[in-house]
Amino acid sequence: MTRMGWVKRALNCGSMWRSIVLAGLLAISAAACFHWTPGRDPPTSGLRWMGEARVGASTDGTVLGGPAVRFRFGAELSERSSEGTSDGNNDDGAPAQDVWLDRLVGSWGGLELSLAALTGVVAGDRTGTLAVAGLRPWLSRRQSKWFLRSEQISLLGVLIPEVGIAYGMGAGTRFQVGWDLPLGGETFQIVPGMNWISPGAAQQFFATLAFRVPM
Amino acid sequence: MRRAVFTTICIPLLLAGAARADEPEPEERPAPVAPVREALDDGWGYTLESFDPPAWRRRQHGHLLLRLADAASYARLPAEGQSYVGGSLSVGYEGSFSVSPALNRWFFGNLFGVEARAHVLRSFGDGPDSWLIATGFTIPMSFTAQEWGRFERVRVPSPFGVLVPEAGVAFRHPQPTSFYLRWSAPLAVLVDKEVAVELVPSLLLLYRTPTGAVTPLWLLSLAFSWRDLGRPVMLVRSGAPDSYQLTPTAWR
Repeated sequence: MTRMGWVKRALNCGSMWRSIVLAGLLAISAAACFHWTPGRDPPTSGLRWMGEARVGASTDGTVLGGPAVRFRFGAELSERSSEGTSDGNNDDGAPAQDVWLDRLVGSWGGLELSLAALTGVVAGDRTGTLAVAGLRPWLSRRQSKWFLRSEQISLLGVLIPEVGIAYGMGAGTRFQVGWDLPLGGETFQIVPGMNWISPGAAQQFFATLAFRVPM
Repeated sequence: MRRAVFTTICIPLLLAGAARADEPEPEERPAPVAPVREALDDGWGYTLESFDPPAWRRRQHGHLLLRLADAASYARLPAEGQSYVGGSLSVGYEGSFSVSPALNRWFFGNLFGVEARAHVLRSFGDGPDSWLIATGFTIPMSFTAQEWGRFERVRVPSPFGVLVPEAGVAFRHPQPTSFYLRWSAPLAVLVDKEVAVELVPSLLLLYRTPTGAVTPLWLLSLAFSWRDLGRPVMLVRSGAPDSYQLTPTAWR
Protein backbone atom coordinates (compact mmCIF):
# COMPACT_ATOMS: atom_id res chain seq x y z
CA MET A 1 0.00 0.00 0.00
CA THR A 2 1.33 3.43 -0.86
CA ARG A 3 1.97 5.99 1.81
CA MET A 4 -0.97 8.14 0.72
CA GLY A 5 -3.19 5.13 0.65
CA TRP A 6 -2.17 4.28 4.18
CA VAL A 7 -2.91 7.78 5.42
CA LYS A 8 -6.29 7.80 3.69
CA ARG A 9 -7.16 4.50 5.20
CA ALA A 10 -5.97 5.63 8.61
CA LEU A 11 -7.99 8.79 8.67
CA ASN A 12 -10.90 7.33 6.73
CA CYS A 13 -12.47 10.73 6.27
CA GLY A 14 -14.97 9.62 3.68
CA SER A 15 -18.09 10.01 5.73
CA MET A 16 -19.69 13.35 6.34
CA TRP A 17 -19.79 13.26 10.11
CA ARG A 18 -16.13 12.37 10.48
CA SER A 19 -15.23 15.30 8.31
CA ILE A 20 -17.37 17.54 10.48
CA VAL A 21 -15.73 16.25 13.66
CA LEU A 22 -12.24 16.75 12.26
CA ALA A 23 -13.05 20.22 10.98
CA GLY A 24 -14.53 21.20 14.34
CA LEU A 25 -11.52 19.99 16.25
CA LEU A 26 -9.14 21.77 13.95
CA ALA A 27 -11.16 24.96 14.31
CA ILE A 28 -11.07 24.75 18.10
CA SER A 29 -7.31 24.08 18.02
CA ALA A 30 -6.72 27.05 15.80
CA ALA A 31 -8.90 29.27 17.98
CA ALA A 32 -7.05 28.19 21.11
CA CYS A 33 -3.66 28.86 19.54
CA PHE A 34 -4.62 32.25 18.13
CA HIS A 35 -6.28 33.28 21.37
CA TRP A 36 -3.06 32.81 23.28
CA THR A 37 -1.86 36.28 24.11
CA PRO A 38 1.61 36.66 22.65
CA GLY A 39 4.29 38.57 24.44
CA ARG A 40 3.35 37.34 27.89
CA ASP A 41 5.10 34.58 29.71
CA PRO A 42 2.53 32.53 31.58
CA PRO A 43 4.00 30.41 34.33
CA THR A 44 3.15 27.05 32.78
CA SER A 45 3.38 27.75 29.11
CA GLY A 46 5.54 25.56 27.01
CA LEU A 47 5.99 21.89 26.29
CA ARG A 48 5.29 19.34 28.95
CA TRP A 49 5.22 15.57 28.85
CA MET A 50 3.51 12.96 30.94
CA GLY A 51 4.01 9.25 31.36
CA GLU A 52 1.25 6.76 31.98
CA ALA A 53 0.79 3.15 32.92
CA ARG A 54 -2.45 2.27 31.17
CA VAL A 55 -4.70 -0.76 31.18
CA GLY A 56 -7.74 -1.25 29.01
CA ALA A 57 -10.45 -3.78 28.35
CA SER A 58 -13.32 -4.32 25.96
CA THR A 59 -16.36 -6.54 26.03
CA ASP A 60 -14.93 -9.11 23.59
CA GLY A 61 -12.36 -10.26 26.13
CA THR A 62 -9.54 -7.97 25.11
CA VAL A 63 -7.36 -6.93 28.04
CA LEU A 64 -4.33 -4.82 27.23
CA GLY A 65 -1.79 -2.81 29.17
CA GLY A 66 1.35 -0.81 28.63
CA PRO A 67 3.01 2.57 28.58
CA ALA A 68 1.65 5.78 27.17
CA VAL A 69 3.13 9.23 26.81
CA ARG A 70 1.55 12.60 26.23
CA PHE A 71 3.24 15.70 24.90
CA ARG A 72 1.36 18.85 25.66
CA PHE A 73 1.89 22.41 24.58
CA GLY A 74 -0.11 24.67 26.81
CA ALA A 75 -0.46 28.36 27.46
CA GLU A 76 -2.76 30.67 29.35
CA LEU A 77 -5.50 31.70 26.98
CA SER A 78 -6.40 35.06 28.43
CA GLU A 79 -5.09 37.33 31.12
CA ARG A 80 -7.04 37.33 34.34
CA SER A 81 -8.05 40.39 36.28
CA SER A 82 -7.43 38.80 39.65
CA GLU A 83 -4.00 37.63 40.76
CA GLY A 84 -5.69 34.95 42.82
CA THR A 85 -6.69 33.11 39.69
CA SER A 86 -3.25 32.62 38.32
CA ASP A 87 -1.51 31.15 41.32
CA GLY A 88 -3.18 27.80 41.21
CA ASN A 89 -6.44 28.45 42.99
CA ASN A 90 -9.20 29.20 40.60
CA ASP A 91 -11.95 29.93 43.06
CA ASP A 92 -10.42 32.25 45.60
CA GLY A 93 -10.69 35.87 44.83
CA ALA A 94 -11.81 35.44 41.25
CA PRO A 95 -14.81 37.26 39.88
CA ALA A 96 -17.79 34.96 39.47
CA GLN A 97 -17.76 35.49 35.74
CA ASP A 98 -14.19 34.23 35.55
CA VAL A 99 -14.95 31.20 37.70
CA TRP A 100 -17.80 30.07 35.51
CA LEU A 101 -15.89 30.76 32.34
CA ASP A 102 -13.07 28.75 33.81
CA ARG A 103 -15.35 25.85 34.64
CA LEU A 104 -17.11 25.77 31.33
CA VAL A 105 -14.34 26.58 28.92
CA GLY A 106 -11.08 26.68 30.83
CA SER A 107 -8.34 29.19 30.91
CA TRP A 108 -5.45 27.11 29.66
CA GLY A 109 -5.24 25.51 26.28
CA GLY A 110 -3.11 24.06 23.60
CA LEU A 111 -2.50 20.84 21.75
CA GLU A 112 -1.81 17.38 23.09
CA LEU A 113 -0.27 14.43 21.30
CA SER A 114 -0.68 11.02 22.90
CA LEU A 115 1.01 7.75 22.03
CA ALA A 116 0.42 4.36 23.60
CA ALA A 117 1.55 0.79 23.01
CA LEU A 118 -0.69 -1.71 24.76
CA THR A 119 -0.04 -5.45 24.83
CA GLY A 120 -2.08 -8.30 26.20
CA VAL A 121 -4.81 -10.74 25.34
CA VAL A 122 -6.94 -9.96 22.31
CA ALA A 123 -10.45 -11.36 21.97
CA GLY A 124 -9.75 -13.69 24.84
CA ASP A 125 -7.64 -16.17 22.91
CA ARG A 126 -4.47 -14.68 21.48
CA THR A 127 -1.66 -12.30 22.31
CA GLY A 128 -1.66 -8.96 20.57
CA THR A 129 -0.49 -5.38 20.63
CA LEU A 130 -2.46 -2.23 19.94
CA ALA A 131 -0.73 1.05 19.16
CA VAL A 132 -2.85 4.14 19.69
CA ALA A 133 -1.99 7.66 18.60
CA GLY A 134 -4.16 10.71 19.05
CA LEU A 135 -4.19 14.48 18.84
CA ARG A 136 -6.58 16.78 20.59
CA PRO A 137 -7.11 20.38 21.46
CA TRP A 138 -6.56 20.64 25.15
CA LEU A 139 -8.49 22.94 27.44
CA SER A 140 -8.35 22.97 31.21
CA ARG A 141 -8.82 24.94 34.35
CA ARG A 142 -6.04 25.90 36.68
CA GLN A 143 -4.77 23.72 39.48
CA SER A 144 -7.15 23.26 42.36
CA LYS A 145 -4.59 21.35 44.45
CA TRP A 146 -7.06 18.89 45.82
CA PHE A 147 -6.50 15.28 44.94
CA LEU A 148 -9.93 14.08 43.90
CA ARG A 149 -10.96 17.34 42.43
CA SER A 150 -10.10 17.33 38.80
CA GLU A 151 -7.25 19.77 38.46
CA GLN A 152 -7.61 20.04 34.73
CA ILE A 153 -11.23 19.58 33.97
CA SER A 154 -13.23 22.19 32.21
CA LEU A 155 -16.50 21.04 30.72
CA LEU A 156 -15.48 21.77 27.16
CA GLY A 157 -12.04 20.30 27.76
CA VAL A 158 -13.55 17.01 28.87
CA LEU A 159 -15.99 16.84 26.00
CA ILE A 160 -13.47 17.49 23.26
CA PRO A 161 -12.12 14.11 22.16
CA GLU A 162 -8.78 13.14 20.83
CA VAL A 163 -8.82 11.81 17.30
CA GLY A 164 -6.29 9.52 15.77
CA ILE A 165 -5.52 6.01 14.73
CA ALA A 166 -5.38 2.65 16.41
CA TYR A 167 -3.14 0.05 14.83
CA GLY A 168 -3.49 -3.56 15.81
CA MET A 169 -1.01 -6.21 14.75
CA GLY A 170 -2.96 -8.28 12.27
CA ALA A 171 -6.02 -6.07 12.55
CA GLY A 172 -4.83 -3.12 10.52
CA THR A 173 -5.32 0.57 11.09
CA ARG A 174 -8.56 2.02 12.42
CA PHE A 175 -9.84 5.50 13.07
CA GLN A 176 -10.37 6.17 16.77
CA VAL A 177 -11.90 8.81 18.99
CA GLY A 178 -10.97 9.00 22.66
CA TRP A 179 -11.99 10.78 25.83
CA ASP A 180 -10.38 10.84 29.24
CA LEU A 181 -11.16 12.32 32.61
CA PRO A 182 -8.03 13.25 34.55
CA LEU A 183 -8.61 13.08 38.30
CA GLY A 184 -5.87 14.01 40.65
CA GLY A 185 -3.30 16.54 41.54
CA GLU A 186 -0.23 18.14 40.14
CA THR A 187 2.02 15.13 40.56
CA PHE A 188 -0.24 12.12 40.14
CA GLN A 189 -3.51 11.46 38.37
CA ILE A 190 -5.92 8.58 37.94
CA VAL A 191 -7.45 8.84 34.50
CA PRO A 192 -10.47 6.80 33.43
CA GLY A 193 -11.07 6.99 29.72
CA MET A 194 -12.51 5.43 26.64
CA ASN A 195 -11.46 4.80 23.07
CA TRP A 196 -14.11 4.41 20.42
CA ILE A 197 -12.36 2.44 17.73
CA SER A 198 -13.66 2.42 14.19
CA PRO A 199 -16.90 4.24 15.00
CA GLY A 200 -19.78 3.47 12.73
CA ALA A 201 -18.69 0.19 11.20
CA ALA A 202 -17.31 -2.74 13.21
CA GLN A 203 -17.03 -0.37 16.07
CA GLN A 204 -15.47 -1.30 19.37
CA PHE A 205 -15.43 0.42 22.73
CA PHE A 206 -12.27 0.17 24.76
CA ALA A 207 -12.41 1.33 28.38
CA THR A 208 -9.12 2.42 29.89
CA LEU A 209 -7.69 3.34 33.24
CA ALA A 210 -4.36 5.14 33.44
CA PHE A 211 -2.01 6.12 36.23
CA ARG A 212 -0.47 9.33 35.02
CA VAL A 213 2.62 11.08 36.34
CA PRO A 214 3.27 14.51 34.79
CA MET A 215 6.88 15.58 34.39
CA MET B 1 98.89 15.00 65.31
CA ARG B 2 96.40 13.25 67.60
CA ARG B 3 94.99 16.62 68.56
CA ALA B 4 94.55 17.49 64.92
CA VAL B 5 92.74 14.22 64.24
CA PHE B 6 90.53 14.68 67.30
CA THR B 7 89.74 18.23 66.25
CA THR B 8 89.01 17.25 62.67
CA ILE B 9 86.76 14.28 63.38
CA CYS B 10 85.23 14.66 66.80
CA ILE B 11 84.35 18.34 66.95
CA PRO B 12 82.08 18.24 63.86
CA LEU B 13 80.39 15.15 65.25
CA LEU B 14 79.85 16.80 68.58
CA LEU B 15 78.51 19.95 66.93
CA ALA B 16 76.21 17.92 64.78
CA GLY B 17 74.98 16.04 67.82
CA ALA B 18 74.33 19.27 69.65
CA ALA B 19 72.45 20.72 66.69
CA ARG B 20 70.33 17.58 66.47
CA ALA B 21 69.60 17.90 70.17
CA ASP B 22 68.27 21.43 69.57
CA GLU B 23 65.72 20.21 67.02
CA PRO B 24 62.30 19.30 68.39
CA GLU B 25 61.51 15.67 68.60
CA PRO B 26 59.60 14.55 65.48
CA GLU B 27 55.94 14.12 66.24
CA GLU B 28 54.34 10.80 65.78
CA ARG B 29 53.20 10.44 62.18
CA PRO B 30 49.44 10.66 61.73
CA ALA B 31 47.60 7.54 60.87
CA PRO B 32 47.16 6.96 57.16
CA VAL B 33 44.01 8.31 55.60
CA ALA B 34 41.20 6.27 56.94
CA PRO B 35 39.95 3.62 54.58
CA VAL B 36 36.40 2.87 53.69
CA ARG B 37 33.72 4.65 55.67
CA GLU B 38 36.16 6.44 57.97
CA ALA B 39 35.69 10.12 57.61
CA LEU B 40 37.68 13.37 57.74
CA ASP B 41 36.07 16.55 58.92
CA ASP B 42 36.91 19.37 56.57
CA GLY B 43 36.00 22.03 59.11
CA TRP B 44 33.05 23.32 57.13
CA GLY B 45 30.42 21.00 58.46
CA TYR B 46 30.88 18.41 55.77
CA THR B 47 32.51 15.07 55.97
CA LEU B 48 34.62 13.80 53.13
CA GLU B 49 34.17 10.10 52.68
CA SER B 50 36.16 7.51 50.93
CA PHE B 51 35.11 6.74 47.37
CA ASP B 52 34.43 3.12 48.17
CA PRO B 53 32.20 1.21 47.85
CA PRO B 54 31.07 1.89 44.30
CA ALA B 55 27.74 3.65 43.95
CA TRP B 56 25.60 4.35 40.92
CA ARG B 57 25.41 8.05 41.72
CA ARG B 58 29.18 8.47 41.72
CA ARG B 59 29.08 9.54 38.14
CA GLN B 60 28.93 12.83 36.35
CA HIS B 61 25.36 14.02 36.47
CA GLY B 62 23.28 15.33 33.64
CA HIS B 63 25.41 13.92 30.85
CA LEU B 64 24.81 10.94 28.62
CA LEU B 65 27.84 8.69 28.94
CA LEU B 66 28.82 5.47 27.21
CA ARG B 67 27.63 2.14 28.51
CA LEU B 68 28.50 -1.30 27.13
CA ALA B 69 27.08 -4.64 28.17
CA ASP B 70 27.33 -8.22 27.04
CA ALA B 71 25.31 -11.11 28.29
CA ALA B 72 24.96 -14.85 28.13
CA SER B 73 21.36 -15.87 27.62
CA TYR B 74 19.13 -18.87 27.95
CA ALA B 75 15.78 -18.75 26.18
CA ARG B 76 12.71 -20.89 25.92
CA LEU B 77 10.21 -20.84 23.09
CA PRO B 78 7.17 -22.67 24.49
CA ALA B 79 5.24 -22.61 21.21
CA GLU B 80 7.87 -24.72 19.49
CA GLY B 81 9.10 -26.54 22.57
CA GLN B 82 12.65 -25.43 21.93
CA SER B 83 15.40 -24.03 24.09
CA TYR B 84 18.01 -21.56 22.92
CA VAL B 85 21.35 -20.34 24.18
CA GLY B 86 23.26 -17.33 23.00
CA GLY B 87 24.35 -13.87 23.88
CA SER B 88 23.44 -10.22 23.76
CA LEU B 89 25.39 -7.05 23.16
CA SER B 90 24.23 -3.58 24.16
CA VAL B 91 25.75 -0.22 23.30
CA GLY B 92 24.20 2.96 24.53
CA TYR B 93 24.42 6.27 26.26
CA GLU B 94 23.08 6.66 29.74
CA GLY B 95 22.87 9.56 32.14
CA SER B 96 22.15 10.11 35.80
CA PHE B 97 19.67 12.89 36.48
CA SER B 98 18.07 14.57 39.45
CA VAL B 99 14.36 13.89 39.28
CA SER B 100 11.85 15.28 41.70
CA PRO B 101 9.45 14.89 43.37
CA ALA B 102 10.09 11.44 44.78
CA LEU B 103 7.05 9.99 43.03
CA ASN B 104 8.43 10.94 39.64
CA ARG B 105 11.84 9.56 40.59
CA TRP B 106 10.24 6.29 41.62
CA PHE B 107 7.94 6.03 38.60
CA PHE B 108 10.30 7.13 35.83
CA GLY B 109 13.66 6.51 37.50
CA ASN B 110 16.77 8.65 37.64
CA LEU B 111 18.97 6.88 35.11
CA PHE B 112 17.88 7.34 31.49
CA GLY B 113 19.45 6.54 28.19
CA VAL B 114 19.16 5.22 24.68
CA GLU B 115 20.53 1.86 23.77
CA ALA B 116 21.01 -0.36 20.73
CA ARG B 117 20.88 -4.08 21.41
CA ALA B 118 21.59 -7.25 19.50
CA HIS B 119 20.65 -10.77 20.53
CA VAL B 120 21.94 -13.97 18.97
CA LEU B 121 20.31 -17.26 19.92
CA ARG B 122 20.64 -20.80 18.62
CA SER B 123 18.55 -23.82 19.49
CA PHE B 124 19.98 -26.85 21.21
CA GLY B 125 18.71 -30.27 22.14
CA ASP B 126 16.09 -32.18 20.25
CA GLY B 127 14.23 -30.60 17.41
CA PRO B 128 15.21 -28.82 14.23
CA ASP B 129 18.16 -26.50 14.15
CA SER B 130 16.97 -22.91 14.53
CA TRP B 131 18.59 -19.58 15.13
CA LEU B 132 17.54 -16.00 15.75
CA ILE B 133 19.33 -12.68 15.42
CA ALA B 134 17.40 -9.71 16.81
CA THR B 135 18.44 -6.08 16.71
CA GLY B 136 16.54 -3.22 18.25
CA PHE B 137 16.49 -0.04 20.24
CA THR B 138 15.16 0.86 23.65
CA ILE B 139 15.07 3.59 26.27
CA PRO B 140 16.40 2.13 29.52
CA MET B 141 14.98 3.78 32.61
CA SER B 142 16.09 2.66 36.03
CA PHE B 143 16.09 3.77 39.60
CA THR B 144 18.83 4.10 42.20
CA ALA B 145 18.06 5.52 45.59
CA GLN B 146 20.38 7.97 47.27
CA GLU B 147 19.18 6.95 50.67
CA TRP B 148 19.67 3.23 50.38
CA GLY B 149 23.02 3.23 52.17
CA ARG B 150 24.68 -0.10 51.61
CA PHE B 151 22.28 -0.84 48.75
CA GLU B 152 23.61 2.06 46.70
CA ARG B 153 25.32 -0.51 44.48
CA VAL B 154 21.92 -1.81 43.41
CA ARG B 155 19.95 -0.57 40.44
CA VAL B 156 16.41 -1.67 39.72
CA PRO B 157 14.20 -0.89 36.73
CA SER B 158 11.60 1.81 37.22
CA PRO B 159 7.95 0.83 36.70
CA PHE B 160 7.70 2.94 33.56
CA GLY B 161 11.00 1.50 32.35
CA VAL B 162 9.62 -2.01 32.65
CA LEU B 163 6.58 -1.02 30.60
CA VAL B 164 8.54 0.60 27.78
CA PRO B 165 9.59 -2.18 25.39
CA GLU B 166 12.61 -2.64 23.23
CA ALA B 167 11.51 -2.71 19.59
CA GLY B 168 13.28 -4.16 16.61
CA VAL B 169 13.52 -6.80 13.93
CA ALA B 170 14.24 -10.49 14.47
CA PHE B 171 15.87 -12.44 11.67
CA ARG B 172 15.06 -16.11 12.11
CA HIS B 173 15.91 -19.38 10.43
CA PRO B 174 13.98 -21.31 9.24
CA GLN B 175 11.09 -19.10 10.40
CA PRO B 176 10.42 -15.82 8.59
CA THR B 177 11.78 -12.48 9.73
CA SER B 178 9.49 -10.68 12.14
CA PHE B 179 9.02 -7.55 14.18
CA TYR B 180 9.59 -7.96 17.91
CA LEU B 181 8.97 -6.25 21.23
CA ARG B 182 10.94 -7.15 24.33
CA TRP B 183 10.24 -6.22 27.93
CA SER B 184 13.00 -6.66 30.46
CA ALA B 185 13.56 -6.02 34.16
CA PRO B 186 17.33 -5.82 34.71
CA LEU B 187 18.58 -6.01 38.26
CA ALA B 188 22.13 -4.64 38.40
CA VAL B 189 24.77 -4.62 41.11
CA LEU B 190 28.00 -2.67 40.83
CA VAL B 191 31.07 -4.79 41.54
CA ASP B 192 33.47 -1.98 40.77
CA LYS B 193 33.17 1.73 40.05
CA GLU B 194 32.65 1.03 36.39
CA VAL B 195 31.57 -2.59 36.20
CA ALA B 196 28.24 -4.15 37.10
CA VAL B 197 26.72 -7.60 37.04
CA GLU B 198 23.16 -7.74 35.80
CA LEU B 199 20.49 -10.39 35.94
CA VAL B 200 17.95 -9.76 33.20
CA PRO B 201 14.70 -11.70 32.95
CA SER B 202 12.77 -10.71 29.86
CA LEU B 203 9.91 -11.55 27.54
CA LEU B 204 10.27 -11.20 23.81
CA LEU B 205 7.20 -11.27 21.57
CA LEU B 206 7.75 -12.17 17.93
CA TYR B 207 5.04 -10.78 15.65
CA ARG B 208 4.28 -12.37 12.33
CA THR B 209 2.83 -9.77 10.04
CA PRO B 210 0.35 -9.55 8.45
CA THR B 211 -1.43 -12.30 10.34
CA GLY B 212 -0.63 -10.83 13.72
CA ALA B 213 0.25 -14.19 15.25
CA VAL B 214 2.50 -13.75 18.24
CA THR B 215 5.13 -16.14 19.57
CA PRO B 216 6.48 -15.48 23.07
CA LEU B 217 10.11 -16.16 23.88
CA TRP B 218 11.25 -16.13 27.50
CA LEU B 219 14.84 -15.16 28.23
CA LEU B 220 17.11 -15.11 31.24
CA SER B 221 20.44 -13.36 30.82
CA LEU B 222 23.49 -12.79 32.95
CA ALA B 223 25.28 -9.65 31.84
CA PHE B 224 28.43 -7.72 32.58
CA SER B 225 28.30 -4.02 31.88
CA TRP B 226 30.84 -1.25 31.82
CA ARG B 227 30.00 2.43 32.27
CA ASP B 228 31.89 5.62 31.66
CA LEU B 229 32.01 7.75 34.80
CA GLY B 230 32.72 11.01 33.02
CA ARG B 231 34.18 13.70 35.21
CA PRO B 232 34.31 12.03 38.60
CA VAL B 233 32.33 13.25 41.54
CA MET B 234 33.20 13.26 45.20
CA LEU B 235 30.72 12.14 47.77
CA VAL B 236 30.25 14.66 50.55
CA ARG B 237 28.15 13.81 53.53
CA SER B 238 26.73 16.52 55.72
CA GLY B 239 25.95 16.07 59.38
CA ALA B 240 22.79 14.08 59.07
CA PRO B 241 23.19 10.45 58.10
CA ASP B 242 22.00 9.65 54.60
CA SER B 243 22.29 13.29 53.59
CA TYR B 244 24.64 13.59 50.66
CA GLN B 245 25.88 16.06 48.13
CA LEU B 246 27.78 15.32 45.00
CA THR B 247 30.67 17.61 44.23
CA PRO B 248 32.74 17.54 41.06
CA THR B 249 36.36 17.02 41.92
CA ALA B 250 39.40 15.04 40.97
CA TRP B 251 40.04 11.53 42.11
CA ARG B 252 42.34 11.33 45.08
